[in-house]
Amino acid sequence: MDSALWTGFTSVALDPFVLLLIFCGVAVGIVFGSVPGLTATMAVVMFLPMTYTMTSIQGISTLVALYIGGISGGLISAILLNIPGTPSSVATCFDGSPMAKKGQASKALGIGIFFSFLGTLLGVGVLVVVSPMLAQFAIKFGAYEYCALALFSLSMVIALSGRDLTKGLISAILGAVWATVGLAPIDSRARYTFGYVELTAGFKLLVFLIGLFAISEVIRYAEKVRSDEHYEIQENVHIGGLGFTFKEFCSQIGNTIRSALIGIGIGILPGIGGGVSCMLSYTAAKNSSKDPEKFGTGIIDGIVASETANNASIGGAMIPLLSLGIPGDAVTAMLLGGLMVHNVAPGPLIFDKSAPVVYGIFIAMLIASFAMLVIEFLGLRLFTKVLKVPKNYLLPIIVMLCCVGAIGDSNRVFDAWGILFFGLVGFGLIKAAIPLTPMILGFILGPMFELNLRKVSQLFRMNPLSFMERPIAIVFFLVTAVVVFLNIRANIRANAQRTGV
Amino acid sequence: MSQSKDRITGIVIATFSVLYLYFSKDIRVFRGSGATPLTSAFMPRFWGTCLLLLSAILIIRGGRKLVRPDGGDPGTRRSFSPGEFFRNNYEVILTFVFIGMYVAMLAPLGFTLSSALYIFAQILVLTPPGKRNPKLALVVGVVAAFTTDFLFVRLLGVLLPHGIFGF
Repeated sequence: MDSALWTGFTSVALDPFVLLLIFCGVAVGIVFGSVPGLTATMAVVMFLPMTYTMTSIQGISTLVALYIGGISGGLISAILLNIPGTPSSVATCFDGSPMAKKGQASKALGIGIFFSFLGTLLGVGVLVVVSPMLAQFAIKFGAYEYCALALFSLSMVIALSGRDLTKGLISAILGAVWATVGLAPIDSRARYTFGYVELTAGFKLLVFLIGLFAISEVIRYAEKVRSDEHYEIQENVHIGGLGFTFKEFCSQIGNTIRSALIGIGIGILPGIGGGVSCMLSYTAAKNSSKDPEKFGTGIIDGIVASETANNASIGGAMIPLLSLGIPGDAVTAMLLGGLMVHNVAPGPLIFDKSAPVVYGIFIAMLIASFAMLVIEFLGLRLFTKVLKVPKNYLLPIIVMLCCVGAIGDSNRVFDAWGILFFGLVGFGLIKAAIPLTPMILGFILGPMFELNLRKVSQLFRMNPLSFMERPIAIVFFLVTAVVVFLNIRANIRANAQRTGV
Repeated sequence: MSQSKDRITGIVIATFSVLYLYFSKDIRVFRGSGATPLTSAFMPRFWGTCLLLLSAILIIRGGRKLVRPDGGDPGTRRSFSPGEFFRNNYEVILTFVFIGMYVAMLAPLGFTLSSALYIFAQILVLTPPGKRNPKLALVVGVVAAFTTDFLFVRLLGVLLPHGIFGF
């Protein structure tokens, strides 16, 4: 372990090229995060093909830097434009924008940046401690446990679906349906290939995600071309020091810890990302405040809660990704694709088979969080100018890079058709108000569930009582049952209240 | 509107799931030694059935809400005109068409040329009518395509289609 840690450390922290990649990745990520309509996911999509010829540590360090920069960058437009740059910064608008209107934009930005940094550090800290333990624990997992885990993760779709459970489930099942194309697990029978050799390998995760998020975003923009949105940008921002006093910092310690824990916890849960964590921590901060009525009027507590939580969720989302191979949100789903491209197989054995890469990721995340702090403080004036970037020029270039990403991964133009197809599917689902995130979960967990369910069917045939010897699986099934029951009950109650029944 | 949207969505998904279930008959199930009790056709049929049931819920829900409690007219239907539809949505339609043409042209024209043409055309579509600048769009298209080609193909060694012109 020590030699792997040292190798991971030296290959990131002592390699000037990797450091340069991390700094560039964070800067680009901040740009993508700050421009409304561009997200951290798109930053990873766009720059993934550039990492194809890099070593695994160089490539993955770049991707995590983009991720950290992308999540943090959302605060800039949230405060200066009152438009969240990413869904993770929705709650930052609530108090950030009123502060900016009161002439305290610099203070709001300083607080946002610093507590984003703290949140990231706390998240990475938990990731470093928990992920090896979880991986060690997950080594005990067999078919029963993976089957139960996949079912548990799929059950989170119910929590994700919000008000409309039916549409959430449709989305998740559609994801699982797309994943059935190609060769079946275990017996490699061709399914839904219709005689096309290209379909035998199935749809690649990257093709699926690029189409779903990047292409559908371009089409959504095309819908709004004639709306001619105009933003008022406050450009004269200058942060003196950190932008806040030591006393103000001390007053936020409890809020920071609570928000970080919420962010990490939400990040760990499959499919629920920073968007939910910032709202939950904002609500928690408001509920536990002595002056809840001041929330939304421009107080620092709201910004601290939102920015700490959304950045802490980065570390949280990386925990199931690395230890179990289950992504925590859309960006980590892209990272899963990135890890696969670089021949790193996430899962319980990752610390045995790719330990230097994993420790390299930890070090890269730490360096990226410091880079984010420095770049955002020093480059704030530049980022406010970037908010004016004309997306009508940028989005076609993103489509081109998406095609590079799809084709470059497997050297076949067929995958470019794949991203167009999933772009169409994504756009159709958005128009039908069907959420996209459950579909990612379905696409990733569907095959995992099928493989292990079929293994379980064989084990069950040999020994019908074998299930009783798997306590971890039993616990997972029980937790799944409780989660499903509670969420369905909450859903029914919410619907009844809405319809006044 | 949202109710009729639910109904249409339900019908589309129901049609898809029926086709999905129908084509599951083409899965050649392995029955030799070591075959699992649940075959390779089990999960597609399971997912297909679930999808069909959920789409039925969506259709029923949409239909039920469309019937107004007072038994009145659910709303006047507007006649559908393809010309008006195109005029109102031409940016979206052309974006799909251009991406499709771009992908189709990648192999015959090559990555660089087709990318330059695509970016040029797409920028024009994504720019509001009064603000279009074809010269700038062309420059951006050519510069972006050649820079990407240089960066990925020449510098990073990523394999991209060359086309008949060899670039």
